[in-house]
Amino acid sequence: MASQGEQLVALPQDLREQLLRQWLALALVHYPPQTRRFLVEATDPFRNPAGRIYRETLGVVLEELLGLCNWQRIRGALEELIRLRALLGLKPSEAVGFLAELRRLIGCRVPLESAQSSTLDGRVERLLLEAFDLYLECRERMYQARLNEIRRARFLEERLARRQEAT
Amino acid sequence: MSEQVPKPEELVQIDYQPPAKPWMDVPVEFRRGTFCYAGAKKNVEYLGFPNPRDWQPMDEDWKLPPNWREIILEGMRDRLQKFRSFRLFMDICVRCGACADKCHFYLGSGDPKNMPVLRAELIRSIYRRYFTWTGRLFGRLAGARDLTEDVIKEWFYYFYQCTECRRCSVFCPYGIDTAEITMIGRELLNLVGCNINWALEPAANCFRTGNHLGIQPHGFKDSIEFAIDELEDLTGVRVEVPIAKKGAEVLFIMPSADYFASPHYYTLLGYLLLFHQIGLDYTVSPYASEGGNFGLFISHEMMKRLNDKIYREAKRLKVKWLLGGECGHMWRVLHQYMDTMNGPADFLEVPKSPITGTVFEHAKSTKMIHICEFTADLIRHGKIKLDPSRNDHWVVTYHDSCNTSRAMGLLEEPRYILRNVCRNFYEMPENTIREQTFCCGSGSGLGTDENLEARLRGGLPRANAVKYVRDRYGVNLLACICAIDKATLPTLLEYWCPGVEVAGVHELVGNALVVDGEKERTTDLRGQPLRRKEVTANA
Repeated sequence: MASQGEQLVALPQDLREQLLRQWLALALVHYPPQTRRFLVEATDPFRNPAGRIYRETLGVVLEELLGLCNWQRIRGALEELIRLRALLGLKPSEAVGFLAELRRLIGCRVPLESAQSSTLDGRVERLLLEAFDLYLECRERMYQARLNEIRRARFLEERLARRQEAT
Repeated sequence: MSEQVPKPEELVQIDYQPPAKPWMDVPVEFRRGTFCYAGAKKNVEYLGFPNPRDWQPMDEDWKLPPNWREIILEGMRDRLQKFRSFRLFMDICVRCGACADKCHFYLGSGDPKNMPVLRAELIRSIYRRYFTWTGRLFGRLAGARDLTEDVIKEWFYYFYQCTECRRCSVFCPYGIDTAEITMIGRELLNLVGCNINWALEPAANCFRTGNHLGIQPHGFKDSIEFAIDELEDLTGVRVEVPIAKKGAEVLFIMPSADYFASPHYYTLLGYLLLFHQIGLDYTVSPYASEGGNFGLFISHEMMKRLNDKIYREAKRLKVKWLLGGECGHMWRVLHQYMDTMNGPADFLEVPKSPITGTVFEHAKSTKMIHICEFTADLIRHGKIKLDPSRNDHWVVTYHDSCNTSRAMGLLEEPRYILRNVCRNFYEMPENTIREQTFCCGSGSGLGTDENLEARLRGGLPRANAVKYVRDRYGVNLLACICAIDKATLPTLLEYWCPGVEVAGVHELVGNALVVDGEKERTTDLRGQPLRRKEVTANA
């Protein structure tokens, strides 16, 4: 039975790309149609930063989930992806829910043995939990950044007050 | 009964598909984190603006005046007659889409109403309905719609989600300046009392005390004296900073954040060291204690009122010319509007560096130059001694602030300075700098905290380019010359790109500047230990 750290299934390149495209489409359904097209089609990473994030991070996650499943690499990619999703005004379930669709996508297109299937289930479940953790981390980071900004705006006032207290 | 209980797979079903409606039928949703709070009644009253009241954008009833529709339409009519550019921008757009993907808010949010073309359509559709015969006759078929309270709410939401950065205008084949459309939109909203507090309060403070935070003259003096003491601790040199000195050669005007916020304050230390070392005969003023001008984000009349103090104080102090600090929108006002609004400044002289003799002919009309122009000229003539190894702990990139780059073309001077004061400098990708620079996402009065979510979305394209140079070259410092950038980019980077700090160009000048009589420098102006490297990367 393939477990974490072992290759799950080797897919031909074109099938993997098809899966990635479909998964990407599911990730983008919250966007209005004209934006979806732009996010998928504009390939310059600086002209289309959100599209870059989706393409790169989902690519890494898919590769790892079907492959050796390096969780450190998955988490790195997932963090960048969730950082974006956490700002889109989506409910937490909407922000991460599309990740679970991968199971269905693969199930439809790739014949898996029962052991492979259960490994994939386990990996996707963990992926979801990691994504929920990261979503919370991102929201907390945003609130912390907000606090830090307010503190920086009072920088000299605080230092003047401290000096006055000391003297 | 059991049939009503959803199955587990149904429980996790999410309807992903957004409603397919024409844009005119999608109402705006005021979700916390994405909009700015309304202008406080006391500030509206203080500035003498219409319809002071207590209200917030998430309220159902915005308490508009009974004749609000007539006020808006009359305001539009007045501006269409007064500003030829406004009428032209209303008529000329062919909706080619060249601007569509150039707005940082669109790129970060994916909301089509943040496309500059559609943001302009919000107001253009009203123009067509009431000011063109096709719109009157054909209504929606001609892209026209009625002016309703929902339209006012939509204007408020989207015109306060435009930072007036003008990136879109760089790409418009007709030269439509969407920022000017936003400006008119905001002016119209202001006529019925729909404005934001983060623009109004600084404007009210500035009108009362001369600066955005409302710091009074004794507070201004305390801040400057604190900086003098701190510089002495850091360098062993005690500088003198003349305040409201009559007859000085130069009046130096900076954004007020330089003397109260971080990291701006270190830029102030840099200015003061530089002026001391070259022996500049200058003064600062507690009256003209704000270079920034939040009036720009409210109305052209408000901008003029706040700008008035600059020439007035120059005249009172009998200086020869004006020097301005590191700020963004301040320079749009000074460079493009000040002379015609409050000039001519015929009592001043054309700026001439007393150190190098350079005459700054380009400022013949405004009589005011940017400190980067002044410092670059000093370096070019070898008038200051620099030790760039004191900035070896920084791997630097440069963010072109929207207003200094697109509104005044200040592209080379900051880079020239940076290449002389530090040894590790790397540019971000070409389509994210210079005229094509991406906004911080917080300019034009949007840099408050209640709309941080929208700001972070809008800042994604900038942060994305910073991340690229961080990952590729190890960049750990983003230099810039805008006070709003210095206030908001650290927040942006803390979220998107941790490990990169923000500094003003003159903070790095202050670090590298060799000052006569200084003690051996062991720290930078932030008090961080220096880490000189024997071998450094290519600059």
